[in-house]
This record gives sequence, structure tokens and C-alpha cells, in this order.
Amino acid sequence: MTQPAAPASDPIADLSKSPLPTAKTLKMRQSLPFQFTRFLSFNSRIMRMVIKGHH
Amino acid sequence: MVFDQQGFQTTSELWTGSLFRERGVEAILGAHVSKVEDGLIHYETLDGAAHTIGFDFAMLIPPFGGVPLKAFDADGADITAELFAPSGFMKVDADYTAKPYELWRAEDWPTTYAAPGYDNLWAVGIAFAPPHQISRPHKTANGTMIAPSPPRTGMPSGVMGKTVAMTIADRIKHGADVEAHTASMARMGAACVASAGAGLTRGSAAAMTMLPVVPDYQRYRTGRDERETRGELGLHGHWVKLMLHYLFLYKAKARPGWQFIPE
Repeated sequence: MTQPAAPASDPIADLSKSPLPTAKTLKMRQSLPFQFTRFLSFNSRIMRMVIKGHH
Repeated sequence: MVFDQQGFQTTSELWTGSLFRERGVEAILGAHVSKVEDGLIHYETLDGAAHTIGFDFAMLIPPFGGVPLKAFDADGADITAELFAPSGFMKVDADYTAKPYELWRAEDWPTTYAAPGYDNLWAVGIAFAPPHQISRPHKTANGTMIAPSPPRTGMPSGVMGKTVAMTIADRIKHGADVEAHTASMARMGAACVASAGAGLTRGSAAAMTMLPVVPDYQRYRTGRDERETRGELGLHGHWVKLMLHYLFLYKAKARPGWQFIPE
């Protein structure tokens, strides 16, 4: 095993191409009525997985 | 993970990168922490270069390892190597044949979690030795392994524990020859909720489901069921996390109706 090279600057990942949410998306993430429907949907998806017996 | 988001296939890498960019989080990928000093972390990246990064507050997850147990048979002979992998995890009914990533299969993963050759030993959750990682392992230019360990906590652990408990109960009630219950991580689904903000009206979390936990590329094009493998950010995730927190504690205390709370 060779020794590591001399210390270099921090290799921060370039995330500049990662998509940013729109203003509408950000608003919907905090919308109480919409998020309540997502809450019901997520819980039903979990229960579906449990009932199917994880097959 | 690969999942469907508004008609497009999104990778968990892109999804996470999006959240990091949104929140101004800087990420260093493919790094191995080699040393931690007071206020300074030393790490190595895939190209073999050495780096340091200062910190005021750090949270590190140490490499997974089993409890250093020793095992002896009835004659007093040391059978530790027979029962446990070098990592300290207990060997179970998995395929431990050394093979490259391209030959990893869903069938490599255990189903009954019983120690081979023993009818009274099981290991579940992060106690059992996985056959290999889930993600492709990497090696730096210096030969240092950078390989994420398979996550075996949370919902999959609960399912495994319940499965083994059912096997034990059946064998006590109906005899030792009763077939064991099974719960392969390559067949079971799981939910995962990662907090991203607190507050009943302003909170947020990444709520994900995946089926199966260990991808099966022979069965599914992307490795997982595209209908059941999803991720979504929002307030509802925080509500789910809060609800599960109270439900699981209620269940752990065996309060009335605990049987109806699933793993």
C-alpha cells in the first residue's frame, strides 16, 4: 500500500447542476391540506407493504 | 435508488444533491475518515489524496462491527471462527462465497437467519453477517476500501426479529421439524423517514419506501419495484416520523392494542 499523497484542498462535490425546487413545489411541501393527502398516501403504502408480507 | 418522480426516473443521488443544493450543504463524496483529532478530521478520497477538514461539531458513524464474542463447543474447543465472520457478525444462512460485484445476487441474502448447523441459534438485524455489501464497493488508489455497509436497522430489523420469533414459537408449539419462517432483505420492503426540519406546520422530512431493500436486478429493471419505490420531501414526512415515534414506544411498552401496530 502506497502512502497517501500530500494534503490537497477539500474536494467539495459540484452540485450546481442539481435541480432546485420551484416556488410552487416549496409551497406545496408546507401546504397543510396537500400534505395531509400525502400523509394518508404514505401510510397506506407502508400498510400495503406490511399486509403483502414483504414479498 | 431509482424512483419515478413526475414521469421521470430520478436517482437518489440526484434527489439528495438537489436537497443539499437547496439547503446550502456542501458534500464530500467517496471519502474514508482515517483519523479524528480535536477539531480536525483526516480523510482519504478515491484518488488516494489525503485531506483534512476542521470542525466545531462532528457526528461520525464508526464502521459496523459485531460484538467481539467468543464461542466454544461442548468439549471446550474454540468455534468462534466457525460461527462468526472476521467482522464479528454471526454467520447465518447466506451465501458467503467471495465473488465480484457483477456476480452478486439477491439469492445470496439469508432468509431464516439461522446459524448453519444449529437449531437454536439465530442472528437478526445488525447481528448477522451480510454476504456482501449492497452498493458497489470502491478502493482508493492506496488500496483503502470505501464500501458502505448494508443498513440492517429499523424496519427490516423489526421484520427479521418478528420472523425468527415466529419460527421459535412454532417449533416450541409444534416440534423442531416445522419449517422456518422467512424474510429475505431481497424480498421485503421498507420505509425510511429522514428528518429535514421540525415543527408541526413548518417541519419537513424525506419520506421513502423501497421494495425490496436489497435490489434484485434479475427481477426488476432498476433493481426495485418502481411503483413501490418512491421518495418525497414534505411536511407529511415529519408527521409520519412523529407518529411512528409515539406508536413504536407505545408498542414497546405493550400498551392495549400494541399487536395492531406493525413493524
